[in-house]
Amino acid sequence: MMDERLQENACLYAADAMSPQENRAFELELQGNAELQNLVRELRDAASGFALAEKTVAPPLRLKTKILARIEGEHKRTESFSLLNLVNQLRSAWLPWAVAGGFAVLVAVQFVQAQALRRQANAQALEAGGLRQQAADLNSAVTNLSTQIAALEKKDDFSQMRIAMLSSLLDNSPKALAVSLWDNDKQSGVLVVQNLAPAPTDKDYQLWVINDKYPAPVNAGVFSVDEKGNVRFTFKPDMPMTSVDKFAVTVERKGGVPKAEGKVALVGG
Amino acid sequence: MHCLARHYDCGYDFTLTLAGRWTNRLGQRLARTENQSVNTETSEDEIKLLRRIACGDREAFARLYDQFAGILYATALKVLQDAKEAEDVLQEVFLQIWDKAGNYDPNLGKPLTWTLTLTRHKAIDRLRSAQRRYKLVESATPELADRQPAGESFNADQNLIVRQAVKNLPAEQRTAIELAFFGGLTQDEISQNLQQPLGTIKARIRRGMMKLRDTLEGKL
Repeated sequence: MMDERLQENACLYAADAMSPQENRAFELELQGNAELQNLVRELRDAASGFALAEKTVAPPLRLKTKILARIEGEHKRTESFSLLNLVNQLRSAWLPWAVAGGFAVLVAVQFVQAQALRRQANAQALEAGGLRQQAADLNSAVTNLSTQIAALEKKDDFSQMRIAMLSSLLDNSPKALAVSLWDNDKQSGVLVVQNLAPAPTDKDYQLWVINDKYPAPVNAGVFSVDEKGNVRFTFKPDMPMTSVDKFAVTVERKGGVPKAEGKVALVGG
Repeated sequence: MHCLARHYDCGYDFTLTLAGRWTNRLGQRLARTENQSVNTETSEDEIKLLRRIACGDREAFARLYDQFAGILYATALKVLQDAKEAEDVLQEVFLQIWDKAGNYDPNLGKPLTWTLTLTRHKAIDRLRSAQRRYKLVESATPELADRQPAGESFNADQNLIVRQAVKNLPAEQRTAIELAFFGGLTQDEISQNLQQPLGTIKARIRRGMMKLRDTLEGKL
């Protein structure tokens, strides 16, 4: 059974009633919680009922033509327009000239169409070339990264180390930044924080470790920052972690709480 | 970037698509003879349409337009209260669908939900920039709660069920959700505008959304 606060937040999220900051904090809770994700999907589909219950209004017909023309491509549209103008001018000419002109127009149309097709084919060939180049670049980037990861894995010091950057969600500390170094073997880590405004006197900052295996974030201890907003904090989560998906810091009651309930200050993974 | 999206799963079930297209068209033709506005697509069909659009299929795009334009335009119009701006939003939304159909994720909701979200967000962004939110707030208080939707809705089969479900919500719950859904107001703003405590607004939205979810489950 899902707790009422989560259910309420899911409803507010699906109805788009949260502020951007609240949205970000809730999206953090959504990660790794399949039951919550399912509820949000159902609520979003249900919320569309508000639109479905409204009277349908047909948009102007020209709008569909306009949109379809846009996706057909500007150059093709321009050519068609010029041809139309040419035909209109010829309509007012003398009959034999019109016949001859008609023949010329026919030839011109065929010529322009052939040109357009050729241009289209060239554009597609260019696009295909671009895609091939993108694929090659991506392959090369993947290879480079794989090499770098392999090199790092060879170094014992970093083989089990997970490095995460946490950014601020607090209005009073927009420049706050933190880096978490997590050692899976030792099941402990170090959090280095900079520029984070000190918590109110009756509050503490509390670190949480998030992993799919656990339905809720796992407590990793409370800390406070010095007057400059800096701290280096060694932590050990309450539960064993096979891996870590994300880290979050919340503002909680003095001494910490068993389950996160306060405002999210820093988050990242 | 959209070129990459165009290559999204483009070989997915081509033979099935061809076979399905003929039966779909026959079904649509039969349905049209009864009622032009009837929606014959299921969300599965709509997902297939989006996949075809991601592969650059213009016919699929035109079909999706016919399918969704009415409801999306009505939604933009409701938010913006301005036909010209609603047209602009509809155009932006469909161009975005053409470019980003490959990004659609069925796990996050049905195609209609996705396109409605795109439309609402674009319309609400315009509304915010024009600072015309007061129009909706003005019309949201008692009149909004008492107003019943009228006229043809998206799908004749779903018409009564959906209307009934929305109508059956207590007025104060419906108002709170509509202010967020169509007005782009946050829970704090709704609380201020309706002069009700934040906790009350949260509870109204939760009760209304849960009730709507339970009523419409498997029917949309």
